[in-house]
Amino acid sequence: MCTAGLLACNDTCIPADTNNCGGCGAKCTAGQVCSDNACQSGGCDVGETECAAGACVDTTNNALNCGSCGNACPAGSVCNGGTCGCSAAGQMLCSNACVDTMTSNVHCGGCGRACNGTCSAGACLAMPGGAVLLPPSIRRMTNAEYDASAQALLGTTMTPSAAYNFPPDSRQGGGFTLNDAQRVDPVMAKALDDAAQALVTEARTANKFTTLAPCTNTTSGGEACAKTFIASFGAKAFRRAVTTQETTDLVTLYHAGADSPGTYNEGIDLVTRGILQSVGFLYVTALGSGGSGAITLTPQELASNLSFLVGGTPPDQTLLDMATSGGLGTPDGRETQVRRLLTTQSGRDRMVRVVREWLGVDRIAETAKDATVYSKFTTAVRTSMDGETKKFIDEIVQRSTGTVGELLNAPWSIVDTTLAPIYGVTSAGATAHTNLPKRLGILNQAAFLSVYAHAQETAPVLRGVAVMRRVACMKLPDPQSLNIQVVPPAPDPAKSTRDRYDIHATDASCANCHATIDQIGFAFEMFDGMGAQRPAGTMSGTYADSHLGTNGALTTVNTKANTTIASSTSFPSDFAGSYTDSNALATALASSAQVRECLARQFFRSSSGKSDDSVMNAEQSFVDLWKQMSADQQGKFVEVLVAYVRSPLFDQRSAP
Amino acid sequence: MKNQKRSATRRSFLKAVGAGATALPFYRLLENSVLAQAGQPLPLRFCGIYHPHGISMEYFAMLDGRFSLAKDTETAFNLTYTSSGTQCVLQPFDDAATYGQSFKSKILPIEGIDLMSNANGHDTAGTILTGSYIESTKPKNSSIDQYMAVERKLGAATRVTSIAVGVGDDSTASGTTLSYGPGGAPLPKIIDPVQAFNTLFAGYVPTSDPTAAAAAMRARAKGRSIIDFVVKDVNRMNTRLAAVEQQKLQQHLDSIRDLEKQFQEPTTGSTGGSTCTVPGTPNKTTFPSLKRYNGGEPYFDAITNSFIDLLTQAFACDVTRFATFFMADLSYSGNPLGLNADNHGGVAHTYNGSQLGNDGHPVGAGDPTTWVPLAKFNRYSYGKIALFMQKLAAAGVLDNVLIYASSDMGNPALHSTRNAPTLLAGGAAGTKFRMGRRLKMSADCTTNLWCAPTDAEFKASTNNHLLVSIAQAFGLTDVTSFGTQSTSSWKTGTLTGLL
Repeated sequence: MCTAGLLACNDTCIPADTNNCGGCGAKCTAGQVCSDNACQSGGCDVGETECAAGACVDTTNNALNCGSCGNACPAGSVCNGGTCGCSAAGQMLCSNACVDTMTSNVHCGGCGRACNGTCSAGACLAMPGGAVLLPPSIRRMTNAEYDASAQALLGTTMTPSAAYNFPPDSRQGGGFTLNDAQRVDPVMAKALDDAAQALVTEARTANKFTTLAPCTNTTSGGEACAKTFIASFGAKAFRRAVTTQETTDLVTLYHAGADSPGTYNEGIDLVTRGILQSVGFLYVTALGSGGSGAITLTPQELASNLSFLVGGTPPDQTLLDMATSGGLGTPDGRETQVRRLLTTQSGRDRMVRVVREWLGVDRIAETAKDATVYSKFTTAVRTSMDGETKKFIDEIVQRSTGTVGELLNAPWSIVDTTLAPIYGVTSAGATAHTNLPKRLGILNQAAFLSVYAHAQETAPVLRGVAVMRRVACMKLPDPQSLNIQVVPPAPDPAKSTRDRYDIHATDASCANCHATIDQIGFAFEMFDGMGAQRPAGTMSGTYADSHLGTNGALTTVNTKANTTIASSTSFPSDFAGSYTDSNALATALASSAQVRECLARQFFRSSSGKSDDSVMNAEQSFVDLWKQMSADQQGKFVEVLVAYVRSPLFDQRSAP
Repeated sequence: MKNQKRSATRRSFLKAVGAGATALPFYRLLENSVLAQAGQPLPLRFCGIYHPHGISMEYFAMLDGRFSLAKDTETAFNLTYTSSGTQCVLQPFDDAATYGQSFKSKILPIEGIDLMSNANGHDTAGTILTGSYIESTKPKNSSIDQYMAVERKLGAATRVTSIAVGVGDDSTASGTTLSYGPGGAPLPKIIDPVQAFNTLFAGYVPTSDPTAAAAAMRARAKGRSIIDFVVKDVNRMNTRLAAVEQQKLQQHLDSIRDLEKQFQEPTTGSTGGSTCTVPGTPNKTTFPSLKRYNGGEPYFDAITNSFIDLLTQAFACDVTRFATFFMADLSYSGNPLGLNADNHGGVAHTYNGSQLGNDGHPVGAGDPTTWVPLAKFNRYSYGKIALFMQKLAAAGVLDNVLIYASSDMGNPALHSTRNAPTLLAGGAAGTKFRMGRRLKMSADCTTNLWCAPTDAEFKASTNNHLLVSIAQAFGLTDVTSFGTQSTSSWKTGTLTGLL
């Protein structure tokens, strides 16, 4: 059998020509051409070209004469519009063969785009060493996720985690609330039961169950009604269908409440209480279903993980429908949902929370100052500092460039009337940009500066370490692990904080790290321990450092904020240089590729809930993937999150 | 003496219960009553206590001729001296006027214990009961209280397997947490005495109203059915997980088993040798704020006292046998000790110790004026432990409660995790530890006084040895090693000199 347009002659497929026109060996007479496999006089038809031996061909679709006579397309390819190509979707003609550029390591996403890792959906995931997917895992919901889930399920306005004393989220590891140490310990188990009972009572009082678990005949049809309730309510709570075994166990629970001396309502209440304490409700799973090699999450898991990760809430109907239709199995399908969820209030709140957890500025709510030194650090001021970072981050993400560069370098913020006097400015309003040309970006805002300071004085070391570890992702050992005795400089009223810490530079064992740490920290010395601008000192270019003297009164000495940061073997940095103060440093950090890469790492850690050595390869995989993004996208919070959700690191897990 | 105490205890118990439970009698058959009637010791209880800011070693260590005072020996030592107007930090243990009796014969202070956390002192509280180094602000294994109570099931017999309480700080970082579950997952602390009361005692006071009693019984039955469901549910999921993930659900399962006890039917009976009186609900108005940095500091003293009452009765009533208590400082203006409002920066950081307080480093005489504020604070902390002992003694359980108290640092200005102030108290009946003595471990360095853990001559006297001794004292004689350390000898073997 020969493909269309060819003739079978002596077991060979040949193109029709004047010697074989309309049949094998059927010759045309002189002066005729063979067109459409028929001999005719007067040349080829319009749109056809006379190629060898008087053969008329349509070069727009002729595989042997594609685009021009004699230009044969490679085997397996087709001629389309005068160009050789491939018929299967996702395939491209590369090096004379049709290849799947969605998966080919030689031609990943396009001809000649070699990929030394895994090519997935046309994106090269450089994964040296192979096993770089995250392991299958489960995680207990965070407190905020529990609250959002309870509210979605039962329409309560209660915040159960606060009302029932849930222990605070674990912040083990990188400081993010998603982490492996979120457990159900005895305190949590009791709080969960207390909360479940209260939620059920509230729902019962508010007549929620008349809609959730209606039953016309509770005497004879109670169990049937309960099963209907279990199937519908359970599926919503578990974010997947209820299994047969789960149904059986929940029906048993129903009878424990409903059987004499109980009632139908008691049975439903007990089932609800059980569901609220079930594994299906409390844990977000990323286990997939069976298989060897890479495991793909189930559609329902994709919906839950995506929804909690981006929106901070359980999946809504749109996501559940997408799960049913399989729409979340593709990167594009997931991306659409990420972008949608990020426009919701809870999605916006979650983005703000991640950025705050990353920089540690959310700890401002638990920061105190010595009233003798920082009398203006009142609860109201602290609350305003807290509010500033939230509004500032949200503004950057929602209405401005959404980049880490702007986060670190914006010459404005959202400053309320309580905080404005601390900054020495007039508030432009509760939502408007207040210009702050001398206070660039989030690192120069009061929340960061207060968190990374002591109660009575600034802390150049804390500020320097925060920038190195959190902003630039530099690996910094602890002094104890280096067997270095930490000797904090003794208080000396005659010296500025900066001068006291300069002792680090004179001790060789300290200097290796502190030459970098302190120089970064010193840049912030134009601000005091609660982030207020220090007044000018008595000498040009200095600031007045007020701190406690030996007599308990404040004493003032000159200090400076200029600094020189070197790039060393231990701490290579692309923001090395001399800076007049932390504003100049912020500008340098804002354009640093190292900082942008750190953003990718921190988003991986906050999204995966993992930051330990065991997932270092997975983290690197994500960074490699992130590197494929265009430079202008790499620093955008939303785009980095989108890239994570699109990637196999999100929807796949390594085989157990 | 002992028999007299027991019969007096018995009388007071019967008096409380006898009148139809009008007061707040304890109400449950206690496993130990049988033991007590047979003349055997009550089961041991354990309380791990953290106190902040290291130690003013000059006012803690055995007298060695300093302050022109006679030298202490292992069994003859002076806790009541005053120097530069400042008392020995252990003075509360020999202060019958304040605490009802001297506890000098009931304590065992130990010097020279090293917390090998491989981390800054501020992250080291997590090493005290785990014996683990700290990595990424977490220890690697469970703490001794959880190991004994949960993993070895010594807490299974009581209504609450274990409890962790703390003053002012409910965060779960390694610097603020004593108790850890499997893999070093931190256990949260209850910082609200009312919540602690509810956990320990709520629902355990019987009602004489038959309708209410029937309702309570029905509520417990429902609670048990919830437990049955959750246990099956957890087990079903567990089969699908890899080992490391199973750890999470195993902890969930253990916690559910703990909750289950709250739904068990109470039965009346004796309290054995202890005087159990269920305390009233703590008066919330005495601590309108709870949290550090959020206005709680002025109430920390009241909160501490409230926890001491609750823990005392929890032990006396055998509601639980395992507790940890994370104490706080008094960082607020106008604190009763007259200390700098910032205890951390203004008291601990300013300490400038002598060689004694500097891990043996030859650094000179230090600055005696800086020892005083820290010593005042230390004495306050030990005063709380003495108060706890006073209450436990009154409840007849002091000899059955082993207290292990430590700070996360020795010298706080250095953030040194060596020479952490270590105190064993109570527990003499069950542990057979010889109390009423002072112990001093050998120095870490002998030739090169600056020797580091990597040097051959470095000899660590780790708290791990103490944890092994404690496990063995609780009957877990198979425990010969505890914790996670790079050097095997640091975690293996008991602490010599205790028995």
